[in-house]
Amino acid sequence: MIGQLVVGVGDCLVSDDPESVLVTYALGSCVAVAIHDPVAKVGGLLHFMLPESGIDRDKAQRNPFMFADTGIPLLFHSAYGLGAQKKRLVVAAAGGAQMMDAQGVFNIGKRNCLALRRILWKAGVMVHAEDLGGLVSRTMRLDVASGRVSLRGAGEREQDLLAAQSPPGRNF
Amino acid sequence: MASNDIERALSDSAAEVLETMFFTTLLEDGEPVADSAGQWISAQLSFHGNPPGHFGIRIPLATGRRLAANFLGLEEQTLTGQQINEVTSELANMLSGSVLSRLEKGSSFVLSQPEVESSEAASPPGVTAQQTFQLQEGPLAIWLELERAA
Amino acid sequence: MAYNVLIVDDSPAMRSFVRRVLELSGLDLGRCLQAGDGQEALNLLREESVDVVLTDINMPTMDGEQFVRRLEADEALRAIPVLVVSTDRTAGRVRQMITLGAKGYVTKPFMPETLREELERVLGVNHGVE
Repeated sequence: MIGQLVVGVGDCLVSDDPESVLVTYALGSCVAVAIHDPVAKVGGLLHFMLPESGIDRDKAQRNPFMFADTGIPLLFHSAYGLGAQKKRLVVAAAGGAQMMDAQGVFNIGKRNCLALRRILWKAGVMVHAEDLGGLVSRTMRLDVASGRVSLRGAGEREQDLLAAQSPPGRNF
Repeated sequence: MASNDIERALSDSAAEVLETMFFTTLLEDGEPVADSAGQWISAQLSFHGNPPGHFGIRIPLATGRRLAANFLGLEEQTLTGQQINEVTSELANMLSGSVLSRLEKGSSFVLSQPEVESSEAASPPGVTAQQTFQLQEGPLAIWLELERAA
Repeated sequence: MAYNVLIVDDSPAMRSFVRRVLELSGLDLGRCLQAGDGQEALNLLREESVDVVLTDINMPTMDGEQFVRRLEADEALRAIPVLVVSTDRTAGRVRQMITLGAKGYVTKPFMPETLREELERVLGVNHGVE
Protein backbone atom coordinates (compact mmCIF):
# COMPACT_ATOMS: atom_id res chain seq x y z
CA MET A 1 0.00 0.00 0.00
CA ILE A 2 1.32 3.45 -0.90
CA GLY A 3 2.54 5.41 2.09
CA GLN A 4 2.06 2.70 4.73
CA LEU A 5 4.36 3.40 7.68
CA VAL A 6 4.81 0.68 10.26
CA VAL A 7 5.00 1.55 13.95
CA GLY A 8 6.78 -1.24 15.77
CA VAL A 9 6.56 -2.34 19.37
CA GLY A 10 7.76 0.43 21.65
CA ASP A 11 7.66 2.88 18.77
CA CYS A 12 5.84 6.03 17.64
CA LEU A 13 5.36 7.97 14.41
CA VAL A 14 3.69 11.28 13.62
CA SER A 15 2.96 12.51 10.13
CA ASP A 16 1.38 15.34 8.18
CA ASP A 17 1.68 13.52 4.87
CA PRO A 18 -1.80 12.98 3.43
CA GLU A 19 -0.57 9.91 1.55
CA SER A 20 0.45 8.14 4.77
CA VAL A 21 -1.26 5.41 6.67
CA LEU A 22 0.26 4.57 10.05
CA VAL A 23 -0.13 0.96 11.10
CA THR A 24 0.89 -1.13 14.06
CA TYR A 25 0.56 -4.90 14.45
CA ALA A 26 0.12 -7.55 17.09
CA LEU A 27 -1.20 -5.46 19.93
CA GLY A 28 -1.52 -8.10 22.59
CA SER A 29 -1.17 -6.67 26.05
CA CYS A 30 0.41 -3.57 24.49
CA VAL A 31 -1.71 -0.48 23.84
CA ALA A 32 -1.79 1.66 20.68
CA VAL A 33 -2.85 5.29 20.86
CA ALA A 34 -3.86 7.06 17.65
CA ILE A 35 -4.31 10.83 17.60
CA HIS A 36 -5.51 13.04 14.77
CA ASP A 37 -6.08 16.76 14.23
CA PRO A 38 -8.68 17.03 11.46
CA VAL A 39 -7.92 20.69 10.81
CA ALA A 40 -4.11 20.50 10.62
CA LYS A 41 -4.38 16.98 9.17
CA VAL A 42 -1.69 15.68 11.46
CA GLY A 43 -1.76 12.14 12.82
CA GLY A 44 0.28 10.10 15.27
CA LEU A 45 0.41 6.51 16.41
CA LEU A 46 2.14 5.15 19.52
CA HIS A 47 2.55 1.48 20.47
CA PHE A 48 3.63 1.12 24.11
CA MET A 49 4.37 -2.04 26.08
CA LEU A 50 4.51 -1.15 29.76
CA PRO A 51 2.75 1.28 32.07
CA GLU A 52 5.54 2.89 34.06
CA SER A 53 9.06 3.97 33.17
CA GLY A 54 10.07 4.12 36.83
CA ILE A 55 10.98 0.43 36.79
CA ASP A 56 13.77 1.03 34.27
CA ARG A 57 14.79 4.63 33.81
CA ASP A 58 17.76 3.78 31.59
CA LYS A 59 15.52 1.99 29.16
CA ALA A 60 13.06 4.89 29.28
CA GLN A 61 15.89 7.27 28.34
CA ARG A 62 16.87 5.12 25.37
CA ASN A 63 13.32 4.34 24.33
CA PRO A 64 10.61 6.47 25.91
CA PHE A 65 7.95 4.97 23.62
CA MET A 66 8.13 1.71 25.47
CA PHE A 67 6.25 3.14 28.45
CA ALA A 68 2.88 4.86 28.75
CA ASP A 69 4.07 7.65 31.04
CA THR A 70 6.93 8.73 28.79
CA GLY A 71 5.48 7.74 25.41
CA ILE A 72 2.08 9.39 25.56
CA PRO A 73 3.29 12.93 26.34
CA LEU A 74 5.93 12.58 23.59
CA LEU A 75 3.30 11.44 21.08
CA PHE A 76 1.25 14.55 21.80
CA HIS A 77 4.20 16.93 21.76
CA SER A 78 5.47 15.50 18.50
CA ALA A 79 2.07 16.12 16.96
CA TYR A 80 2.05 19.69 18.27
CA GLY A 81 5.38 20.10 16.51
CA LEU A 82 3.66 19.43 13.21
CA GLY A 83 0.88 21.91 13.94
CA ALA A 84 -1.68 19.81 15.83
CA GLN A 85 -3.63 21.52 18.61
CA LYS A 86 -4.60 19.74 21.80
CA LYS A 87 -8.23 20.83 21.85
CA ARG A 88 -8.76 19.58 18.27
CA LEU A 89 -7.15 16.20 18.77
CA VAL A 90 -9.32 13.13 18.34
CA VAL A 91 -7.95 10.16 20.30
CA ALA A 92 -8.49 6.44 19.78
CA ALA A 93 -6.94 3.55 21.68
CA ALA A 94 -6.83 -0.21 21.34
CA GLY A 95 -5.11 -3.19 22.90
CA GLY A 96 -4.40 -4.02 26.52
CA ALA A 97 -5.71 -7.54 26.10
CA GLN A 98 -5.28 -10.18 28.76
CA MET A 99 -2.87 -12.45 26.92
CA MET A 100 -2.52 -16.08 27.90
CA ASP A 101 1.17 -16.08 27.12
CA ALA A 102 2.18 -13.16 29.38
CA GLN A 103 5.83 -13.47 30.30
CA GLY A 104 5.05 -13.79 33.97
CA VAL A 105 4.40 -10.07 34.25
CA PHE A 106 1.41 -9.25 36.38
CA ASN A 107 -1.73 -8.55 34.36
CA ILE A 108 0.08 -6.19 32.03
CA GLY A 109 -2.83 -5.63 29.65
CA LYS A 110 -5.02 -4.26 32.41
CA ARG A 111 -2.15 -2.18 33.84
CA ASN A 112 -1.52 -0.65 30.44
CA CYS A 113 -5.21 0.30 30.05
CA LEU A 114 -5.24 1.87 33.50
CA ALA A 115 -2.03 3.80 32.79
CA LEU A 116 -3.47 5.09 29.52
CA ARG A 117 -6.67 6.29 31.17
CA ARG A 118 -4.85 7.81 34.15
CA ILE A 119 -2.38 9.72 31.98
CA LEU A 120 -5.02 11.03 29.59
CA TRP A 121 -7.28 12.08 32.50
CA LYS A 122 -4.41 14.05 34.08
CA ALA A 123 -3.53 15.54 30.71
CA GLY A 124 -7.12 16.69 30.25
CA VAL A 125 -7.95 14.47 27.30
CA MET A 126 -10.72 11.91 26.88
CA VAL A 127 -10.56 9.02 24.44
CA HIS A 128 -13.14 9.33 21.66
CA ALA A 129 -13.27 5.66 20.76
CA GLU A 130 -11.58 2.60 22.16
CA ASP A 131 -11.31 -1.15 21.94
CA LEU A 132 -9.39 -1.98 25.10
CA GLY A 133 -9.11 -5.14 27.15
CA GLY A 134 -10.56 -8.43 26.05
CA LEU A 135 -8.57 -11.42 24.93
CA VAL A 136 -7.76 -10.78 21.28
CA SER A 137 -4.64 -9.32 19.70
CA ARG A 138 -5.32 -6.47 17.26
CA THR A 139 -3.85 -4.46 14.38
CA MET A 140 -4.56 -0.71 14.26
CA ARG A 141 -4.41 1.61 11.25
CA LEU A 142 -4.63 5.42 11.13
CA ASP A 143 -5.20 7.24 7.84
CA VAL A 144 -3.47 10.61 8.18
CA ALA A 145 -5.54 12.46 5.59
CA SER A 146 -8.95 11.50 6.92
CA GLY A 147 -8.32 10.49 10.56
CA ARG A 148 -10.05 7.19 9.94
CA VAL A 149 -8.95 4.54 12.46
CA SER A 150 -9.56 0.88 11.76
CA LEU A 151 -8.92 -2.26 13.74
CA ARG A 152 -8.58 -5.89 12.89
CA GLY A 153 -8.74 -8.51 15.62
CA ALA A 154 -6.85 -11.75 15.04
CA GLY A 155 -8.93 -13.90 12.74
CA GLU A 156 -11.52 -11.14 12.20
CA ARG A 157 -12.40 -8.63 9.48
CA GLU A 158 -11.21 -5.05 9.61
CA GLN A 159 -13.67 -2.62 11.20
CA ASP A 160 -13.75 1.12 11.70
CA LEU A 161 -13.11 2.30 15.24
CA LEU A 162 -13.37 5.94 14.14
CA ALA A 163 -14.93 7.04 10.87
CA ALA A 164 -13.21 9.55 8.61
CA GLN A 165 -13.42 13.04 10.02
CA SER A 166 -14.50 16.24 8.37
CA PRO A 167 -13.40 19.41 10.19
CA PRO A 168 -13.90 20.51 12.87
CA GLY A 169 -14.30 16.91 14.03
CA ARG A 170 -16.85 17.58 16.73
CA ASN A 171 -20.49 18.46 16.39
CA PHE A 172 -21.48 18.91 20.02
CA MET B 1 -23.25 -14.16 56.39
CA ALA B 2 -20.25 -16.28 55.45
CA SER B 3 -16.90 -14.61 56.05
CA ASN B 4 -15.56 -15.50 52.66
CA ASP B 5 -18.60 -13.78 51.10
CA ILE B 6 -17.54 -10.66 52.94
CA GLU B 7 -13.90 -11.05 51.91
CA ARG B 8 -14.93 -11.51 48.30
CA ALA B 9 -17.22 -8.46 48.49
CA LEU B 10 -14.40 -6.34 49.92
CA SER B 11 -11.89 -7.28 47.24
CA ASP B 12 -14.33 -7.13 44.31
CA SER B 13 -15.54 -3.73 45.46
CA ALA B 14 -12.02 -2.44 45.99
CA ALA B 15 -11.03 -3.51 42.47
CA GLU B 16 -14.18 -2.04 40.94
CA VAL B 17 -13.91 1.38 42.59
CA LEU B 18 -10.16 1.71 42.12
CA GLU B 19 -10.18 0.67 38.47
CA THR B 20 -13.00 2.95 37.35
CA MET B 21 -12.32 6.25 39.09
CA PHE B 22 -8.82 5.97 40.56
CA PHE B 23 -7.12 4.39 37.52
CA THR B 24 -5.27 1.84 39.62
CA THR B 25 -5.77 -1.70 40.82
CA LEU B 26 -4.83 -4.23 43.49
CA LEU B 27 -1.30 -5.60 43.30
CA GLU B 28 -0.90 -9.31 42.71
CA ASP B 29 0.53 -11.58 45.40
CA GLY B 30 4.27 -11.35 45.36
CA GLU B 31 4.52 -7.88 43.91
CA PRO B 32 6.66 -5.48 45.92
CA VAL B 33 4.55 -3.36 48.25
CA ALA B 34 4.93 0.38 48.69
CA ASP B 35 6.31 1.90 51.86
CA SER B 36 3.64 2.78 54.43
CA ALA B 37 5.54 4.91 56.92
CA GLY B 38 4.22 8.22 58.17
CA GLN B 39 0.83 9.52 59.18
CA TRP B 40 -2.36 7.64 58.33
CA ILE B 41 -5.87 8.96 57.76
CA SER B 42 -9.19 7.23 58.16
CA ALA B 43 -12.71 7.72 56.90
CA GLN B 44 -15.69 6.03 58.46
CA LEU B 45 -19.43 6.04 58.10
CA SER B 46 -22.54 4.31 59.42
CA PHE B 47 -25.29 2.72 57.40
CA HIS B 48 -28.90 1.79 57.97
CA GLY B 49 -29.46 -1.49 56.22
CA ASN B 50 -30.37 -5.05 56.94
CA PRO B 51 -28.36 -5.40 59.17
CA PRO B 52 -27.12 -1.87 59.93
CA GLY B 53 -23.49 -1.20 60.79
CA HIS B 54 -20.35 0.77 60.26
CA PHE B 55 -17.70 0.90 57.56
CA GLY B 56 -14.29 2.47 57.36
CA ILE B 57 -11.03 2.72 55.48
CA ARG B 58 -7.51 3.64 56.61
CA ILE B 59 -4.67 4.70 54.33
CA PRO B 60 -1.31 6.41 54.75
CA LEU B 61 -1.60 10.12 54.02
CA ALA B 62 0.92 9.61 51.19
CA THR B 63 -1.39 7.02 49.64
CA GLY B 64 -4.34 9.37 50.05
CA ARG B 65 -2.38 12.03 48.23
CA ARG B 66 -1.54 9.72 45.31
CA LEU B 67 -5.11 8.45 45.02
CA ALA B 68 -6.51 11.98 45.20
CA ALA B 69 -4.13 13.09 42.43
CA ASN B 70 -5.38 10.22 40.26
CA PHE B 71 -9.05 10.92 41.00
CA LEU B 72 -8.91 14.67 40.48
CA GLY B 73 -6.48 14.51 37.55
CA LEU B 74 -4.07 16.86 39.31
CA GLU B 75 -0.41 16.80 40.33
CA GLU B 76 0.26 15.49 43.86
CA GLN B 77 2.22 18.55 44.94
CA THR B 78 -0.66 20.91 44.18
CA LEU B 79 -3.21 19.13 46.39
CA THR B 80 -4.44 20.61 49.66
CA GLY B 81 -5.14 18.55 52.78
CA GLN B 82 -8.80 19.33 52.27
CA GLN B 83 -8.81 17.86 48.78
CA ILE B 84 -7.15 14.69 50.05
CA ASN B 85 -9.73 14.38 52.83
CA GLU B 86 -12.61 14.96 50.42
CA VAL B 87 -11.40 12.31 47.99
CA THR B 88 -10.76 9.85 50.84
CA SER B 89 -14.28 10.48 52.06
CA GLU B 90 -15.68 9.77 48.60
CA LEU B 91 -13.55 6.63 48.31
CA ALA B 92 -15.08 5.35 51.56
CA ASN B 93 -18.55 6.29 50.34
CA MET B 94 -18.23 4.42 47.07
CA LEU B 95 -16.50 1.40 48.59
CA SER B 96 -19.21 1.03 51.22
CA GLY B 97 -21.93 1.38 48.60
CA SER B 98 -20.31 -1.26 46.46
CA VAL B 99 -19.65 -3.68 49.35
CA LEU B 100 -23.16 -3.37 50.76
CA SER B 101 -24.78 -3.79 47.36
CA ARG B 102 -22.94 -7.11 47.06
CA LEU B 103 -23.79 -8.29 50.58
CA GLU B 104 -27.33 -7.01 50.92
CA LYS B 105 -28.59 -7.51 47.39
CA GLY B 106 -31.79 -5.78 46.54
CA SER B 107 -31.93 -3.45 49.50
CA SER B 108 -31.30 0.25 49.43
CA PHE B 109 -29.52 1.62 52.45
CA VAL B 110 -28.69 5.08 53.68
CA LEU B 111 -25.05 5.98 54.20
CA SER B 112 -24.02 8.70 56.59
CA GLN B 113 -21.48 11.24 55.34
CA PRO B 114 -18.01 9.83 55.99
CA GLU B 115 -15.87 11.54 58.61
CA VAL B 116 -12.18 11.83 57.94
CA GLU B 117 -9.52 12.14 60.61
CA SER B 118 -5.91 11.36 61.40
CA SER B 119 -5.53 7.82 62.45
CA GLU B 120 -3.38 5.16 63.95
CA ALA B 121 -2.49 2.34 61.62
CA ALA B 122 -4.35 -0.18 63.76
CA SER B 123 -7.99 -0.92 63.01
CA PRO B 124 -10.83 -0.55 65.50
CA PRO B 125 -11.33 -3.62 67.69
CA GLY B 126 -14.19 -6.08 67.31
CA VAL B 127 -15.01 -5.56 63.64
CA THR B 128 -16.85 -8.18 61.61
CA ALA B 129 -14.32 -8.18 58.79
CA GLN B 130 -11.20 -6.34 57.77
CA GLN B 131 -8.66 -6.60 55.00
CA THR B 132 -5.65 -4.69 53.82
CA PHE B 133 -5.12 -4.42 50.09
CA GLN B 134 -1.83 -3.43 48.50
CA LEU B 135 -1.94 -0.92 45.70
CA GLN B 136 0.89 0.65 43.73
CA GLU B 137 0.04 3.78 45.72
CA GLY B 138 0.33 2.02 49.08
CA PRO B 139 -1.89 0.00 51.43
CA LEU B 140 -5.65 0.39 51.71
CA ALA B 141 -7.22 -1.11 54.84
CA ILE B 142 -10.98 -1.67 54.84
CA TRP B 143 -13.13 -2.75 57.77
CA LEU B 144 -16.78 -3.58 58.14
CA GLU B 145 -18.87 -3.99 61.26
CA LEU B 146 -22.34 -5.46 61.00
CA GLU B 147 -24.64 -5.01 63.99
CA ARG B 148 -26.72 -7.97 64.90
CA ALA B 149 -30.12 -7.77 63.19
CA ALA B 150 -32.94 -7.12 65.65
CA MET C 1 -25.40 25.80 21.76
CA ALA C 2 -23.71 26.13 25.16
CA TYR C 3 -25.20 23.89 27.84
CA ASN C 4 -25.55 25.22 31.39
CA VAL C 5 -25.17 22.33 33.80
CA LEU C 6 -26.04 21.93 37.51
CA ILE C 7 -24.18 19.26 39.52
CA VAL C 8 -25.87 18.26 42.79
CA ASP C 9 -23.85 16.08 45.20
CA ASP C 10 -22.81 16.46 48.84
CA SER C 11 -19.30 15.25 47.98
CA PRO C 12 -17.06 18.08 46.72
CA ALA C 13 -14.66 15.48 45.29
CA MET C 14 -17.42 13.88 43.23
CA ARG C 15 -18.59 17.28 41.99
CA SER C 16 -15.01 17.95 40.83
CA PHE C 17 -14.83 14.60 39.04
CA VAL C 18 -18.15 15.12 37.25
CA ARG C 19 -17.16 18.65 36.33
CA ARG C 20 -13.91 17.38 34.83
CA VAL C 21 -15.80 14.83 32.73
CA LEU C 22 -18.03 17.62 31.42
CA GLU C 23 -15.03 19.81 30.60
CA LEU C 24 -13.20 17.04 28.75
CA SER C 25 -16.15 15.43 27.03
CA GLY C 26 -16.38 17.80 24.06
CA LEU C 27 -19.70 19.20 25.30
CA ASP C 28 -20.11 22.90 24.57
CA LEU C 29 -20.18 23.72 28.26
CA GLY C 30 -21.63 27.04 29.35
CA ARG C 31 -21.96 27.59 33.11
CA CYS C 32 -21.18 24.70 35.43
CA LEU C 33 -23.07 25.25 38.69
CA GLN C 34 -22.77 23.16 41.84
CA ALA C 35 -24.97 22.46 44.86
CA GLY C 36 -24.46 20.26 47.92
CA ASP C 37 -28.04 19.09 48.36
CA GLY C 38 -31.50 19.29 46.83
CA GLN C 39 -32.54 22.43 48.69
CA GLU C 40 -29.44 24.34 47.61
CA ALA C 41 -30.08 23.14 44.07
CA LEU C 42 -33.68 24.38 44.08
CA ASN C 43 -32.52 27.75 45.37
CA LEU C 44 -30.00 27.98 42.54
CA LEU C 45 -32.57 26.99 39.94
CA ARG C 46 -34.74 29.92 40.97
CA GLU C 47 -31.96 32.29 39.90
CA GLU C 48 -30.20 30.50 37.05
CA SER C 49 -31.25 28.97 33.77
CA VAL C 50 -29.96 25.41 33.48
CA ASP C 51 -30.14 22.93 30.58
CA VAL C 52 -29.41 19.69 32.41
CA VAL C 53 -29.09 18.53 36.02
CA LEU C 54 -26.85 15.73 37.31
CA THR C 55 -27.84 14.65 40.81
CA ASP C 56 -26.82 12.24 43.55
CA ILE C 57 -29.52 10.62 45.69
CA ASN C 58 -27.98 10.23 49.14
CA MET C 59 -27.62 13.83 50.41
CA PRO C 60 -28.45 15.63 53.65
CA THR C 61 -31.22 18.24 54.05
CA MET C 62 -33.01 17.23 50.83
CA ASP C 63 -32.10 14.00 49.08
CA GLY C 64 -32.18 13.32 45.33
CA GLU C 65 -35.56 11.63 45.39
CA GLN C 66 -37.22 14.62 47.06
CA PHE C 67 -35.37 16.98 44.77
CA VAL C 68 -36.57 15.25 41.60
CA ARG C 69 -40.15 15.18 42.92
CA ARG C 70 -39.97 18.93 43.52
CA LEU C 71 -38.53 19.54 40.05
CA GLU C 72 -41.29 17.56 38.39
CA ALA C 73 -43.95 19.39 40.43
CA ASP C 74 -42.67 22.76 39.26
CA GLU C 75 -43.99 23.90 35.87
CA ALA C 76 -40.96 26.08 35.25
CA LEU C 77 -38.45 23.32 36.06
CA ARG C 78 -39.98 20.03 34.96
CA ALA C 79 -38.68 20.28 31.39
CA ILE C 80 -35.04 20.21 32.51
CA PRO C 81 -33.62 16.72 31.92
CA VAL C 82 -32.20 15.04 35.01
CA LEU C 83 -29.44 12.42 35.10
CA VAL C 84 -29.05 10.55 38.40
CA VAL C 85 -25.52 9.60 39.56
CA SER C 86 -25.67 7.36 42.62
CA THR C 87 -24.09 4.47 44.51
CA ASP C 88 -27.56 2.91 44.76
CA ARG C 89 -27.65 0.28 42.05
CA THR C 90 -30.81 -1.57 43.07
CA ALA C 91 -33.34 -2.12 40.27
CA GLY C 92 -36.08 -0.73 42.48
CA ARG C 93 -34.33 2.58 42.97
CA VAL C 94 -33.45 3.00 39.31
CA ARG C 95 -37.07 2.28 38.34
CA GLN C 96 -38.29 4.70 40.98
CA MET C 97 -36.12 7.58 39.82
CA ILE C 98 -37.01 7.04 36.17
CA THR C 99 -40.69 6.88 37.10
CA LEU C 100 -40.29 10.13 39.01
CA GLY C 101 -38.97 11.71 35.84
CA ALA C 102 -35.20 11.21 35.63
CA LYS C 103 -34.04 10.68 32.05
CA GLY C 104 -30.85 8.80 32.85
CA TYR C 105 -29.05 6.90 35.63
CA VAL C 106 -25.35 6.20 36.16
CA THR C 107 -24.17 4.09 39.10
CA LYS C 108 -21.04 4.99 41.05
CA PRO C 109 -18.29 4.11 40.54
CA PHE C 110 -18.26 4.90 36.83
CA MET C 111 -15.67 5.47 34.13
CA PRO C 112 -15.58 8.98 32.68
CA GLU C 113 -16.60 7.57 29.28
CA THR C 114 -19.72 6.02 30.80
CA LEU C 115 -20.93 9.32 32.22
CA ARG C 116 -20.21 11.04 28.91
CA GLU C 117 -22.21 8.43 26.97
CA GLU C 118 -25.21 8.62 29.27
CA LEU C 119 -25.17 12.43 29.23
CA GLU C 120 -25.03 12.43 25.44
CA ARG C 121 -27.94 10.02 25.31
CA VAL C 122 -30.00 12.22 27.63
CA LEU C 123 -29.19 15.37 25.64
CA GLY C 124 -29.62 13.66 22.29
CA VAL C 125 -26.13 14.56 21.01
CA ASN C 126 -22.89 12.72 20.38
CA HIS C 127 -19.22 13.70 20.45
CA GLY C 128 -19.29 13.55 16.73
CA VAL C 129 -16.88 10.85 15.80
CA GLU C 130 -18.77 7.56 15.46
